[in-house]
Amino acid sequence: MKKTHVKNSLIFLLIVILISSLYFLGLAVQGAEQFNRIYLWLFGASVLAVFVLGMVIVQRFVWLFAKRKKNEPGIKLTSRMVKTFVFLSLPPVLVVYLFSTQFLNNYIDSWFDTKTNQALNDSLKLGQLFLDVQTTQALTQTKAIALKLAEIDPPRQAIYLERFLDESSASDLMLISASEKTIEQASINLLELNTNPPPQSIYQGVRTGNNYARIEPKQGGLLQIRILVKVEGSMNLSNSYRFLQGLFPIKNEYSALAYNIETASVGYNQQLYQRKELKKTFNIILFLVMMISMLLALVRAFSSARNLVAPVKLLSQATQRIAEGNYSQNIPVSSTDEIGFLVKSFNTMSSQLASSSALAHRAQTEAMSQKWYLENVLSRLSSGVLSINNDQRVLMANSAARKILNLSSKEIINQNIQQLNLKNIGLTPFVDLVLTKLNDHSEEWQQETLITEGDLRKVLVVRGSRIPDQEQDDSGMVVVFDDQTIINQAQRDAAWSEVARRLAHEVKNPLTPIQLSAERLRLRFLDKMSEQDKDILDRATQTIVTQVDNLKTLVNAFSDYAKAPELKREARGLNKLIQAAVDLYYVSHAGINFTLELLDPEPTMYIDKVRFSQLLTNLIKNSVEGSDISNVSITISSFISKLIENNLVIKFSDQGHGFTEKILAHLFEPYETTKATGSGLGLAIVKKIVEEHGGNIKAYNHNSGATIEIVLPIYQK
Amino acid sequence: MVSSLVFGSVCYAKNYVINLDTTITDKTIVIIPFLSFKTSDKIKEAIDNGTRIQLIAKAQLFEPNNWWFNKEIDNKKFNLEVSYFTLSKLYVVKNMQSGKQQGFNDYEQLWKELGKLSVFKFKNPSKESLMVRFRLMLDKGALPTVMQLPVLIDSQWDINTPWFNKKISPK
Repeated sequence: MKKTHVKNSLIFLLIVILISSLYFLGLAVQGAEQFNRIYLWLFGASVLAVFVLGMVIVQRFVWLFAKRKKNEPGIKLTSRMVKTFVFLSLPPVLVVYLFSTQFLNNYIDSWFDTKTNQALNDSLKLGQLFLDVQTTQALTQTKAIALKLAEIDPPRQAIYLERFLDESSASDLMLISASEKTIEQASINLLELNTNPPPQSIYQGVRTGNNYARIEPKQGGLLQIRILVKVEGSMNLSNSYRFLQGLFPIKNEYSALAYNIETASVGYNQQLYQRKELKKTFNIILFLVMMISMLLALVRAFSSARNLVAPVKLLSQATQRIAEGNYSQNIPVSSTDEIGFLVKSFNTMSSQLASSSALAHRAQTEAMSQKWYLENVLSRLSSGVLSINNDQRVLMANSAARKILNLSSKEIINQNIQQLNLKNIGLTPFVDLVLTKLNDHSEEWQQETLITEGDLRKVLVVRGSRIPDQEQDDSGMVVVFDDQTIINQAQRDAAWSEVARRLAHEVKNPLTPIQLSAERLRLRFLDKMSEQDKDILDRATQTIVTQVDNLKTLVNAFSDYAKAPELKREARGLNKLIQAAVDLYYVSHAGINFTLELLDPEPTMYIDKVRFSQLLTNLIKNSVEGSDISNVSITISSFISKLIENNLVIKFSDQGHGFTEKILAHLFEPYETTKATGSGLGLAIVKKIVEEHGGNIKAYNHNSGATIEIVLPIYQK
Repeated sequence: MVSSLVFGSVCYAKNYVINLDTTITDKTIVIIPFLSFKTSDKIKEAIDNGTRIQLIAKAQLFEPNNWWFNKEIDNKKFNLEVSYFTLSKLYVVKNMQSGKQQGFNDYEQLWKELGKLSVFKFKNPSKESLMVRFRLMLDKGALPTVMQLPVLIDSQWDINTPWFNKKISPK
């Protein structure tokens, strides 16, 4: 801002200097004596100022060009306005210049007319004639004196000189030797003695016999006649000649008139002679004036265009910022005209927009806050929540929903509910249920459904409720669902535990008396019976004892399942436990091929080693017993889980015939077995131990057998 | 060295100073220049048509210095106005300072006598070695205003003489 002000002040100063120079230049050309000496300086200053002004204009054009290249806001309008100003201002300036030069040239020519010239020449001739007469008279007188002097003895000539001066009309007589030295001088004015000797250049002419007679201007605007004649020296002893100079004044009134004629004539001739130069000078000054007018018009054009465009440019920039969302724009109002009114209105609009935007922003923030709060609450829920509009599009799904349905946010949000089928075919019962309820406009409903995820099955309890809308009857439905699988499983586990506990308690008590009774019967009656009966009794009692033993084993297994001993956990690795379990089976069961792919170095786990050894034994036993082939291959591997952070996966894979579909669904439930002699509690106990250690277990078939996968948390210090 | 560069006596213009006649007495040093001075027809035409032209005669007295700028002791200048007196067809040279004037019938004679009209008289500073220099130049600022600009760029009006230097020994 300050820089612009200084720049404008400099331009203004330049313009003032320029106009002043031109004014004084004009005065100098018109003949003002005081400016004559500084004419060239004034002219130089004007040219320099025009040059500087020209440079300013060039700089402005360069600026305009550069801005146009950058396509700055408002620059096109500035260019257009500059162009308009230039086209408006240049023609009148050019017209005035052309007419002025034309007029000036004609006007200067009109100063000189033939009659005036003739009159002046005539008057000059008249003056010359008059002066010639005067000169002739003076010459006659001087010659007469010279003749008289020639007859006088030279030493006495000086004495006579004063006398001749008195007798003649001369004001000064001077006797000069042949060597051009003053011999004697007689003068009316004593102050002029020893002055006014004849110029050396005229002696030669007089020596050759030509007399010198000329009118001369004198100081003080007077005229005098200078006569120089030769004084012959025939009478002289030395026979040498001398010179006589006579100065004859011309009367003041004649001198003044002659001077006037001379001055007027000279002045006229001078102007006539300088006519061309005068025209040139005026033309140059007019050209300078035209250039200044043009350049000033250009400067003004730039300045006006920028002043006019400045608020428009500011408006454009502010509008752009508003479009970008920055509503708080205030443009300084620099004028009271329509542009000023426009700027004021813009400021008002901007202010209102800003306040509206602030309100909207606040409302939006509140809504966002509420949404965030709702999402936060929903994300904390263990129940899955879906919001579905009437177009069957899912608008919202919380994290539990995504987890239960095993879909990502992208796969659910803004997708048609029917699309979920394509992502996961196991969700079909759930999708069908929701669609049915959406279509029949049920207000509130609850239903259990089953979904599958690979080999896993999940039991979902689904509840739905219509979302009322102010304008429409309904705007969709909110669906809340819970994964009941674990709860159901837990309930089943608890029930089984209770069954096992009661079974163990009720069945275990009479077993010993049965066994003892059977053994007593055998001991008491075996020897007393016939061979045939003896055999029958023996086999019967043997069967009873064997079956009671079997029942005891079964009851003990149930008892183990039912009771939940306190865990004695410690931080340790699993590899040694796995190796020990494998070694035990490797020794006792020939033909089992174990392959161990254990993580090394192994992570530290927090486990009860006794319970975990039982888990390992049960799993190996289950694989061995479940296989009907002679050579059993079991692969035990461990690795860090990629799905759950800080968890270790232990995988048991065999090369058997795998699990059937039916078994797989209830594999970890008690009394589910494919073996004839098994209690069906092995895997149920395994699952229980895993869950006691905070892990989970799953089973599935692979290409050539079954796999049981255990995921356990790694110990965190 | 510097002085010879600055005040070299090489004559490169059309008009030049042939020599400086110096008359040295105990008290004064009188300098009379001898000029080779001619003017163009354009100048004569201007004078014949009533234009008064002024010439500036400048003379300077220096104490020469071999290794530094010369020390100026004194300088004098006067203006000589040349005009044409139509009534008697006389060319008049006037010393603008003293007011003295002299008429010439012949235009060429005027310029021949010009040196004799440019006599300078300096007080003798009684130095071992001195240097005088002289030049004559057109006073453009004294010309009529309308002629000043054309004269500036017209070579026919270039009648200035270069500086003429002369060593003298006043003692």
